[in-house]
Amino acid sequence: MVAKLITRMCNSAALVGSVLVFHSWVWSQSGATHAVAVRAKGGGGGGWTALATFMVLVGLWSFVARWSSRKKVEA
Amino acid sequence: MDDSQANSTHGQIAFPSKQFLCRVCLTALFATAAHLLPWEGLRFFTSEVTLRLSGLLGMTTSRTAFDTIEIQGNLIQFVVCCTFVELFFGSLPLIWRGKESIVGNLLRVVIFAGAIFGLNIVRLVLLQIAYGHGVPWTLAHDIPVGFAYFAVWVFIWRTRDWPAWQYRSRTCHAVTPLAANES
Repeated sequence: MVAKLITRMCNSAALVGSVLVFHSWVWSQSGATHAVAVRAKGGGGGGWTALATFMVLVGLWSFVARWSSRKKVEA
Repeated sequence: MDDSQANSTHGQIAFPSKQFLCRVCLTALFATAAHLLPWEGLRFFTSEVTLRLSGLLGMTTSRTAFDTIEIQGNLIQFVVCCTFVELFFGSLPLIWRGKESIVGNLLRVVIFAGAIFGLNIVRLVLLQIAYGHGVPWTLAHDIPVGFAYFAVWVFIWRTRDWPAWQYRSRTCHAVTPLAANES
């Protein structure tokens, strides 16, 4: 059950979100020049934080969708 | 109930459909192509709209370069990624509908472009407000980007007219095509 959920999450997030993943990667590469203020503080690489946030949200969304559809079947 | 869930509960394993994979490959190509261009006009326009809206909200603003603005004493440089142009171009293969006319699709793309631009501007203005009030950059900038990605992802997933999955039986490996709207 958990394995199916993880597989489904990874499939959908990795494939539909490929553009977003790519965007995050590009962003992380260009992060050093993204914001002058942040560069001065040694920041950058924000794309990975954005990607992690995105993946967590997709995971929660998939979990809730699956949970609610199972509830409907049980009802 | 989601067909993919129904099939997975009946002993079938979901795999990405060929159409899904083709669209994803196009997505990578489109996003790469978009990133290779400088988009100076769009960067200027995005920064200018952010500058003016921030000024309307009472923040002190000034322009230091075509792609760099100063808001509340913070210098912010707009690179290609800040315009979401890669997100827009990368999303095109996923939102294009094969059964709809070209005019209908183009209209849809124009509306989508406006929505992406609006979403980005709202994000940037909220970023200026939060960052100007001392919120850390990660919290003010990076995490909201994740939420913006998620909003686009949900839109794509909910409005697509192409099959995302095909199913294979655990026992005989037969491939079962999926109906267009399985979710």
